[in-house]
Amino acid sequence: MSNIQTPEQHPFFRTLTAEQSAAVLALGKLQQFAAGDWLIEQQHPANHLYLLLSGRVQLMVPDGREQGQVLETLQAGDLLGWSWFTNPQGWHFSARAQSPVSCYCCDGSALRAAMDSDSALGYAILQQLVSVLAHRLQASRLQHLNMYGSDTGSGQ
Amino acid sequence: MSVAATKLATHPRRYRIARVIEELADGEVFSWELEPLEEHAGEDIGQPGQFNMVYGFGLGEIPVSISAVSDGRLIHTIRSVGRVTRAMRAYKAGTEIGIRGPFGTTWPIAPLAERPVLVIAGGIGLAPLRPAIDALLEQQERSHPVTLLYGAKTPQTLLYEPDLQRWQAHPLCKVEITVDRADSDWQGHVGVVTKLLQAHNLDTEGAGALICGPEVMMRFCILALQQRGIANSDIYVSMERHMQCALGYCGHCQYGKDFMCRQGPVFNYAAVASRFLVNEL
Repeated sequence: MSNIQTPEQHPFFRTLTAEQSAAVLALGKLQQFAAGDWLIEQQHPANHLYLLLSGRVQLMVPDGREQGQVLETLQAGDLLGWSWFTNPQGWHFSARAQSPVSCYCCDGSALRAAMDSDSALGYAILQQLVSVLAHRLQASRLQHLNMYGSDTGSGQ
Repeated sequence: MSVAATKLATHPRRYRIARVIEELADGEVFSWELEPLEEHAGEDIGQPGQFNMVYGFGLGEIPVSISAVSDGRLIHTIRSVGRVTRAMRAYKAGTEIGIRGPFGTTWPIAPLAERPVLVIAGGIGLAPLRPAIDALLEQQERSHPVTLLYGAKTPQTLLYEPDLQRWQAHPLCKVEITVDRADSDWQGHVGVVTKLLQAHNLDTEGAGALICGPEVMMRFCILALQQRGIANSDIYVSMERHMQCALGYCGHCQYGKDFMCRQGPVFNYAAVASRFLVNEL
């Protein structure tokens, strides 16, 4: 998958106005992670929104060993983390860079404050978050179905 | 139907298993590379999208999609799930079986020669799409890419790894693979195949789409394709129902006004869209 060259080109900003995009961008900075780095860790304070520009991230459930169960692979164009809005006390899952990752990292507390003071901005960001949540819920349900295991498939 | 075509459709002709290919380590999915006995050499062995009725003498008959045709040899990929297929699982190279067919409709290879093509496969649904991918990449007039989006349950259930590598190396082919479940050793994607369709840089301009896999997967893939602006008439699906006669007589494979064995298994989605969401049809 091809990389995103500038943060403004990330799909997160597609439905935001120029002013709204500038307001969000002012609350973050570019950040790089090496392969193997943890972007978020389960139960650590959840205070950032990550907009992925390049590389791949494994969203996972650590299971006490070095290996964990991977829930989903995120890549350029995806966003990581919404607990800064719903549950800033702690991340539900962990995420590790599978390759070198470049992202735009926004401060969660500052984002919440901006959304509280500007309802139009708040609504625009919530629309994006809900859309992502809906897609991921739908995907999780499909994964839960074990649909490949229940193929009618060739053969009787 | 001509006399010759009738005979192909009603009389199993003898093929020999030249090679048994273990497709998955657990043994559940295997392929037969088949060669016709001498008296049947040169007869029609089918086109991508079609299926044959594969007959174990004294055992039973099952419908199986064509998963490759090459130099007069035919390959069928079979999943060991029932009485007949579990018994067939034990057949060795040299065993003679019967082939009745080919039956059904084909993937629209020629009409897609000058267009980009999205091939979306789920699980064993890659089997009927493999000959279509090869046929598309062999087209002399092809200048637009073929993109394979392939989903499977785990890395251990991915089929046809040599073909996946061969296609990835082809200058006009791109392969994206995703699995539902993996541990952190897996270096590929984890997630449903529809996620690959939503990728920000997937080029769908002017594309046709060929889809085969579990029906629930196909429904959501079609939704994702529609959201990308692909018309129903540019989407083709390969459907399955229980088939017995393959001649349109027994009615087991009836799908609304059509028979899967005659008007299918490959359908233009525009022709079946109204039936696709009808439960228990």
